[in-house]
Amino acid sequence: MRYRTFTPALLALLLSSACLAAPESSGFDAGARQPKPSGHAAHQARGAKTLMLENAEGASIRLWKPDLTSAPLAAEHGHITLRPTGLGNYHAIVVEQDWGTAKDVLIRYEYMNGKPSGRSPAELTAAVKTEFEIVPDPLPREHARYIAGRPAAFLVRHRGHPAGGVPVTLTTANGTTLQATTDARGRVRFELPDDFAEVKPGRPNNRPAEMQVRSDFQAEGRAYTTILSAQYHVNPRHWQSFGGGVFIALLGMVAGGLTGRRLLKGNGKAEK
Amino acid sequence: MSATVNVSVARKLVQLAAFVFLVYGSVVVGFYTADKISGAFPALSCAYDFQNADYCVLIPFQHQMAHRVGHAVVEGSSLLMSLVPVITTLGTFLLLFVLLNKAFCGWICPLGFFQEMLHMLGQKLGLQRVESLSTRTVDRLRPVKWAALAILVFGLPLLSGLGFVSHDLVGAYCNLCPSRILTTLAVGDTTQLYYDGANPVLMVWSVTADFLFGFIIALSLTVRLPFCRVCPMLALHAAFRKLGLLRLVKAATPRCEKCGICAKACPMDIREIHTEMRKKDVTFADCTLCGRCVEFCPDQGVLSLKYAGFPVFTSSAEYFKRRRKAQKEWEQSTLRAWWRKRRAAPAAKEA
Repeated sequence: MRYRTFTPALLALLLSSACLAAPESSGFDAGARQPKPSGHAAHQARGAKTLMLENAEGASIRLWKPDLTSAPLAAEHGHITLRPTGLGNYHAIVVEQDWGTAKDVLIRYEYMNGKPSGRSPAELTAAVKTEFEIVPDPLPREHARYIAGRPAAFLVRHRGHPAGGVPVTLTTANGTTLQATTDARGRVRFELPDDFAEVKPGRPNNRPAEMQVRSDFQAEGRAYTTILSAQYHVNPRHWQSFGGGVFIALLGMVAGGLTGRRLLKGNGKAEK
Repeated sequence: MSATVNVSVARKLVQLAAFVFLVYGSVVVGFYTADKISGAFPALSCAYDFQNADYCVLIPFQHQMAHRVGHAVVEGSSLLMSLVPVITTLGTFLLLFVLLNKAFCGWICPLGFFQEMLHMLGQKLGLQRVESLSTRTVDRLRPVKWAALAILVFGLPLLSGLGFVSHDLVGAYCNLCPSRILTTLAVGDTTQLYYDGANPVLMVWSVTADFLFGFIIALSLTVRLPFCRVCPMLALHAAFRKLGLLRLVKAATPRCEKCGICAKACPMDIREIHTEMRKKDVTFADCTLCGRCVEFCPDQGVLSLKYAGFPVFTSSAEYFKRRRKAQKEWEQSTLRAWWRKRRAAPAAKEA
């Protein structure tokens, strides 16, 4: 007989990258155990990814591919290895721990390189992968990412139907907790907290951090706890200036106007 | 013919529809990259615009040069295999390109439409505009588009992949492209108009991009299509223009030597449309197949737009007369003229 050994607090650590709090020295990126990339990792990561998975003894783990086929995954020594499936685009990892009267679920979407699947990630998010599910609405577009300070929306579904009025909590590894309730369409929207303690200029110089979107739900005599985990990144506005951009564009306009006048004088062919 | 019924007006309507579709089309085609029409569109439909309908072909070219070809050379893996995605992208681009040829510039491109709208605004404001650039200026500008294609789209991204230049130059062209700033601003996203002080490369590139964007806006008020003349997409189109089904065809007559209205009408200042007397296919490298030269050719059947050899629009004396009259009315109708007329009316009444 198995017992529900982990508390929700421990559950939050189930599937996460090795660099949960984004330490500079961890040497891991994109939720995967890979050397620190020199550029934007999403384009280059063509090999396997390794994800940490704790307290999941006896859990069912499935990998959903972009073509909506799924296959079981095994955890070894607290890690899941995502080997290239040959298909490019988002994959979903669904970890389910069924306790009979309760069910804990952890979901994570990971981009994997490969041949274009010809299938939209909208199909993967629309597919019912577990009874009580939190779905990004939408996922960050391919090669894009969640960014601190920008909005992110999620759908909460029970058996594929929107779950309205359900409380949802967003927790970041940087220590922020936000709470909201789903609307009638089961949708909830957060502005991702801009809570990175130390920000360095330049995107490659800042490590992402983990965030978890969690919801608890009761239906048909069962208690569901579902967590969607993902990474979010530092907002480039910390080293980019919109005002500076506008000022330079205005300088360009002045130069453009002067060039137009010069061309007009030089040409001697003008129209009114 | 009223001022509202001619090829130029029809083209503006097509451009407007294309602008709306390409910039906001994700509501139709879908949000994700996998939903986009081709991923290798022959016009500047920017991937940085998260509501767009398709991606410009230049973005995959740059990334494939850096991440596939460059890396294959560095890692010593198969160069041929690394070229497969480049060939696939080129093939996709060509499948679309043959349908409209360089008309993707003149009829579809969002940035081209934006510049034409600005020029129209300059005309309506009564600004004195440059009718045509000097031959010297045109000749100086012509090689720039080839340099932009070779250096910004293929060269720097490849060198970046090889590790010779900064990784920030993978998207060397995209980071300068005015369409990136225009289309993102058009959907209310201000994240692409910025000064980036993270490192010297990003600083130089961001300053150049912002400056160029402002420069193009102001210059478009008085000069026709300033950015199109140096656009690498125009060069890519020029390289494959012989494959396109739509062509500009000329049947020169001796009258052509004395005329030259076609060259004056051309927004890209292609004087060869006038001077070329032997070639039939006059779809020159800078041509955007806008059809303006055909509209303003006063002679029957001298210039025509042909699709797969079939004429779709041919010059005629009758059309020319009506079009010229319509143009004159259009040119006279400016805010300045309207203001003068308004001020003069009470004075005339008093007199």
